[in-house]
Amino acid sequence: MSLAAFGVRKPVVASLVMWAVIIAGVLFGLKLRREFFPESRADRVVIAVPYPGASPEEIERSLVIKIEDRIERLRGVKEITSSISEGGASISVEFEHGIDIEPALAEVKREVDALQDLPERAERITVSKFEPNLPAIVLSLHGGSDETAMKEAIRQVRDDLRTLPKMGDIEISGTRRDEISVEVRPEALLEHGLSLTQVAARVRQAMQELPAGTLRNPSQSVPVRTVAVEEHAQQVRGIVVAAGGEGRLLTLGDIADVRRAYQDVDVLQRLNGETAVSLTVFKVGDEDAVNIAEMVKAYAAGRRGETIEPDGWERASMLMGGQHPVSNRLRAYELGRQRAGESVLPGQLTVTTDLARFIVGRLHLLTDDVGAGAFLVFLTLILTLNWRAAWWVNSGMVVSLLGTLVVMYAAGITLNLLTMVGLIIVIGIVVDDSIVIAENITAKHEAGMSPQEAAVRGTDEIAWPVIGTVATMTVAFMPLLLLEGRIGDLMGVLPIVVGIALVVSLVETLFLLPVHMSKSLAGVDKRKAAGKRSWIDIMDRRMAPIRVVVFDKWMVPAYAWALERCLRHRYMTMCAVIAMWLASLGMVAGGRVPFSFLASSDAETINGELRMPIGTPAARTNEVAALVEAAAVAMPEVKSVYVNVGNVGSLDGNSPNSNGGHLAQIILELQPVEMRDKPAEAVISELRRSLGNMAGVKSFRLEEIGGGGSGADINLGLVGDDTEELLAVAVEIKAALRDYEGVFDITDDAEQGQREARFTLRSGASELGFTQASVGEQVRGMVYGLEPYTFAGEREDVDVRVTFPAGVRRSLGDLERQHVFTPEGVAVPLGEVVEFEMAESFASVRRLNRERIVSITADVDSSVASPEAVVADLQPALDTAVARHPGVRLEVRGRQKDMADSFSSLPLAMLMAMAMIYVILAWLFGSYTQPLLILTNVPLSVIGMIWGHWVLGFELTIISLIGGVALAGGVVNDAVVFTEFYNINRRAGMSVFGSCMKSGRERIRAIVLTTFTTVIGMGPLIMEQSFQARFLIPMAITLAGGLIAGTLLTLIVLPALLLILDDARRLGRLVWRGESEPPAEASGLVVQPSAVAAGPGGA
Amino acid sequence: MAKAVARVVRVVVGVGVLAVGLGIAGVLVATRPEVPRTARSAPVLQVRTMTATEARVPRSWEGYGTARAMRVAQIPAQVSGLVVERPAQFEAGFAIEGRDLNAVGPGVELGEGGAGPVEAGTIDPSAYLGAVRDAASGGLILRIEPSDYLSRLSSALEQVQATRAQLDSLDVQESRTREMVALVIEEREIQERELERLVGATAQGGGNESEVERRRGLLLLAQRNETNLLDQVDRIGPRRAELRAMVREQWAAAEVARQNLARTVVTSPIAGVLQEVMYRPGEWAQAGTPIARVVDLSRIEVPLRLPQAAGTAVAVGDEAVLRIDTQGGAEWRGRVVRLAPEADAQTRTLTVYVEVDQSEAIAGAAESSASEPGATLAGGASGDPPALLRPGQFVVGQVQSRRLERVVLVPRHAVEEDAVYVAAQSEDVEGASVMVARRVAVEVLFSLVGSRPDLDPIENQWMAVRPVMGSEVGLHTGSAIIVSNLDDLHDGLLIGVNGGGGAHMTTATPGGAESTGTAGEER
Repeated sequence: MSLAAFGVRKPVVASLVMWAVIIAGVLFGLKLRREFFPESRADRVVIAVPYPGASPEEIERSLVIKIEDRIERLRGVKEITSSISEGGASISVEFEHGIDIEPALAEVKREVDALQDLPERAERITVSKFEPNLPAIVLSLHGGSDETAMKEAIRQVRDDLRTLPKMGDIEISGTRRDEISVEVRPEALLEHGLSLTQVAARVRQAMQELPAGTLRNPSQSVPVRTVAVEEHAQQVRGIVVAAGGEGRLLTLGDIADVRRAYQDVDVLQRLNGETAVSLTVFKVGDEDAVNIAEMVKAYAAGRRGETIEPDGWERASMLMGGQHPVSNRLRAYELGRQRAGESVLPGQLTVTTDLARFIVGRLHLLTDDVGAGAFLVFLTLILTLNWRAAWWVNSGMVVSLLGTLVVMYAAGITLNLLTMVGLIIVIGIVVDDSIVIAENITAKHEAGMSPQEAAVRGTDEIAWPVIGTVATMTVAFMPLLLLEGRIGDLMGVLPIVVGIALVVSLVETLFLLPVHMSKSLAGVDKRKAAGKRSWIDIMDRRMAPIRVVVFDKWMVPAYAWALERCLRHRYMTMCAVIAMWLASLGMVAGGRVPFSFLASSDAETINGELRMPIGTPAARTNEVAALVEAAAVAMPEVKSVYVNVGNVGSLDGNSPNSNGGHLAQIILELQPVEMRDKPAEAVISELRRSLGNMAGVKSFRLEEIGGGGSGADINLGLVGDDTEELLAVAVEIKAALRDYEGVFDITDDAEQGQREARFTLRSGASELGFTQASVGEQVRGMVYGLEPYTFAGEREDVDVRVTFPAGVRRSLGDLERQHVFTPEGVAVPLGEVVEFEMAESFASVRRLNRERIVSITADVDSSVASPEAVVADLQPALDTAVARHPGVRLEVRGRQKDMADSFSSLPLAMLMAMAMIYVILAWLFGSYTQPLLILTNVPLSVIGMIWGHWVLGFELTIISLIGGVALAGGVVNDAVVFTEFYNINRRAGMSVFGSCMKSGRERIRAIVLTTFTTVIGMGPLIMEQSFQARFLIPMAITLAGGLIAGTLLTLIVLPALLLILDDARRLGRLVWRGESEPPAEASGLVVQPSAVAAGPGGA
Repeated sequence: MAKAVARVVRVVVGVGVLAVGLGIAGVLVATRPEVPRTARSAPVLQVRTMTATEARVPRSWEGYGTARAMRVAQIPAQVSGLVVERPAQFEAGFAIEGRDLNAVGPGVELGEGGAGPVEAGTIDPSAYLGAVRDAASGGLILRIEPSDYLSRLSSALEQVQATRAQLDSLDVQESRTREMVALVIEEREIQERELERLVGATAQGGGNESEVERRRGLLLLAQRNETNLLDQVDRIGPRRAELRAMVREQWAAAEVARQNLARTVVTSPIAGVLQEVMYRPGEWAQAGTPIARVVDLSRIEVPLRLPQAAGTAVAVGDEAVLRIDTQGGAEWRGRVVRLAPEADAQTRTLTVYVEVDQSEAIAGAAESSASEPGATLAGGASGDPPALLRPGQFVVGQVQSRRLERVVLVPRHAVEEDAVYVAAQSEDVEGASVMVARRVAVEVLFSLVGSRPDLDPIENQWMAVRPVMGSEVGLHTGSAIIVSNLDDLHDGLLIGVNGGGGAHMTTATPGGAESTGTAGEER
């Protein structure tokens, strides 16, 4: 007994199942976790190597190379990248696809623990899994002038937010760490014959609290410990550093300025010109970025004393008497209100960067598009089918989508950009199967069968082809599972969602739809018998003549006329199609439809990264940042400007923060898209124009943050051992890049040019007892400071830092004039002990797979050229440059690498998918050749894809190609339906020509309808003007254009190919057996039993 | 036949259609829009420059040392006694004037060769003490109980008077003795004549022998008396000498007593500032122990330990700036007055002696203290007198060599491996004039610290460089030295100079402002 028969026989079960799916779908759908991109599997291990005060080259030599050598031997290591800067290094170990990260992490830990001969001053190496931290929202406190008050206030806000459930990681920026600063006057050291290291040692001795054991006596045990100096500046000031006779004591306060201070780092944040401190909330693990953002915004509103309106869900919960507060958002709001009553903030609290709104925006967009698409499909079906079929087909679509949400919830799949795209794609597909079955059931009923029989027979008759189309569609998406690289990680979820949706829709189509159709038709029969007519019947009756005119009087005859001529001139038809195909490909190869890896889209956030030459003081960087700030504030499209000098954070969570006085980050929040005329790209261009060429700036990169991937448009890696060679090639390539118009922000990450004061011991220094280490420690103390003691402060560790006054430690000239102390405590001028040499060193060193790498990055104005076109054009110059330097290798990085990774696996994956589709079709039709003819449609359908992009003015992107994968399944589906009926006709004894003609006439309506519903389902997305949609539109265009072309191919080319196949068969028969048969078109509708092929679908 | 022709035509048309498709594709590929190129002469980098300006710049050296006064008086108690007086305001830090009490009051003046009356020795000890006290006013540090010394002086003077009386009596005695000698001589002469007459008479027989003999006995007696008296007269001279010596001795003792009496009033031999007064009234001052210490602040010397490399540049007469960071950034100027002949091998330093003349400052402080009661030279006055460099203070000094070197000052970071980049005009491939970066070798002489707003408002680290002769593109006055984006520069790179965006444009000109930093400059 088939599913349809079971359902028709037990309609209550079917109804229960349907309602269960609907209710569960609504409930679980609302509970689905929302995020931007699907969580990518952890495939990286990060090794943090802190070595305070050490230069990058020293860290590389003494630590990184040793670690890399050990890690490289591990199984499954794909890539080792190291980023080394002053004071520490970060080594990222990427493992091959499929490697379990937990054992890999354990192995890396073992190898790192086994390291020996590490520098004494290197701190503990930590190994961890790479967990990308995606910022959800940034909250700024601005307008205050008291650093301490601002820091305390933002900490309190952080602590408040931490109490809220499912709140992500919170990181405070713009504040400096507390420390007790002991700035020793150099003159005082000379006067009292004390070295800085001696002072630090005295501080350590005085502040260390040592347990001295336990006094055990018969009555009790008393622990004994030393009582150290209290951890306050006042007490530290009183530490005795030297004692003379007659009770004379030299205290720390006599020789140093001791105060509670902040860490001496260059950090400066402004929001719209006001000093600011910020906290960024990162989404971690299974937290919901949207909920996080809502809670933060509600808390901020509460703190500001504003009112917020409960949303519909919250109102409903309140009405139902839900526990107060009914949501985390309201809880956050009330917390904010409560705090506002307790304390006054020293500034304004403002949400500056709400990245979660991208998720909300895109989810809203997609939800709207799903709704609009479903409505249009419904409208189409009403016009082309009948009301009942249209209603139940649409109901089936809704049930399928809700059922998919249930399975997604159960499988832990989140609602994200990719899964939503998957749902949009399947809207048109799930209705296709329903349309075919509903139409067949209606036809059977109209042929005189009872509603129940029509439902069962109409379903069972084409169940296998429907299963076949679902199978081929599912298989068509499989290549996305095999894609490698970052794109592969993201796309992996798409075939899963599509597969779930298709299977759910298949069950719905084969089980629920027949039940509903049978009941609906039974109702019609009953009303007909009773002589009653519902308004639906009346509407149907009125629509029928229109349908007859459109389909039977106009479309079918026109198609039959065209098909007959095409079949009679089938070779000419094929030539024309192939010519068209070649010309279409020529449009891509000729750049008329340019290819760009990722399309540019509008955005509401612009991230600017300002890099001054290494060593630029923060004051100077701030000057330039202020220029940008002023220019941005003057633009009406800019809502707020957030400047962070000294630190550049990642807005995509994939790269670590960078620190340094030469860096600044400028985040522009734009007015919402609907409130401005200019897209973000135009805002960037205008800002660039108004700023002109800023002298002294190393690079100033402005990037739209649309929630998608970020990174430079062009990223070329030069790998080798010889740094000089790498730099030479980098210079050549950068010069070559500068030749292109629209290419800007050309820079490299070598960051050479850091002026380094290297010192070597003079020959006579050792005579006085100096060693490199002893001088080095003293110089380190002068410049970086010594940290003799660290204690746990209120909310953070507080260092006691013994160093020289800022005026000395920031001036190389002053440093040279200082004195160092011999082991006997004799002061000797530093210049007499060491020889200073100014040299250039790398501020940071980057390595790739145990070699040094210099990455050249550049951005491309997409209105002038695409990055891919520039790279393609640049290729000869790259080859020449690399050929001149045999020790240098070129490796594409960034989006070019992503593209290469994706494309490298795509052809094989596509081939496998085609092979699987072939197998399914061969099984379905019992033929070796027919599947080949059907698959011919796949490459030819790119005609529609290319022309669709050209007509609508879009570039081909990786998303277009992914749409092409889905297209393969869609194109095959139409052909499967056509071929199935062709075979039925053939088995009925028709000639090849006749079968083609008849199948075409019979199936044109279903084929056109399925295509039309799919295209119309994607119509709202294609017509969408929002910047959130631009990213997805190429995929919709591919599907729509490709399906339109595929439909024409199915209706014209597939029959022509069937005839050509028959011609080949006849030719073979003539050549092999000498038997001549009349051409197919001559035989008309004559039955040729020998040509009948039987397959499972027709059994 | 017709069918065959039709078939051939169809094949040709079919192939033609294919060829058209292929052709269209070929044309599209062949006419593929090229990625637009930029003009070759477009600058690659916008850089900041500063104008090279030659200047004569001194080299400076820094060292440290402890100041010491060139005049210090450690005043001991010259007499023992009970301290009876110490002016209340005479505490450490009080400025005092020097007093020489030896010149006060009458002294002992002895006659030439010790002859003559000792009239000058008549002094009144009490009056003398009063005179001393009067002379010491304003300079008195403390006073010791004088009564013992007053008594001793009186006693000594009494003894002198007694001896002087003996001398007077000796004179009377001599006069009487000499009168008696004259009488005795006359008597002897009478006896001689009597004897001669008797002898003549006897010889003539007029006498008797016994009478002669008696007469002869009388003569001998007279002679003996004469001799005795003459002996007495001879003894008076030595006696007088003895008494006179005694007077001198006693007067010397009186003089000591007088001095001791004067010493009971303690004053400073030099003008200066009281460092310390060890005794208070009621305490016993032991002769020989220090009573007070007075320091003259007008001339201070600082032995500065400079790096020994300074020996080749520093000379006597070089100016030095001394500072103490803990004293509100006070500075003193002095000059090198001498150099140690040898360097210290242990500290690798060479000591140069810097003298600071603070006379004017002290005078200023004195005026200030005069106008404001209660002010002292040692500071602490409400009138904020000039800070003085004090002995014992640890100072850091910077000595500037008077030997000026003609150099070009460039920001320290602009020097890379003994070279700087300058912006120079060049011609591009199309012959147009463009600006390029050129690497110019320089000789790096020394570094300097200090702001030079005339050259660059931000920099405070400088390098003194000298152009290396023979470079194709030299470094000379007016050259545009590139001071930004140095890590991106290479020889021949197309650049834009001082591009907009509010970047700093240098304003230095060859006749620009004087140095304001520690690196002084003379033109």
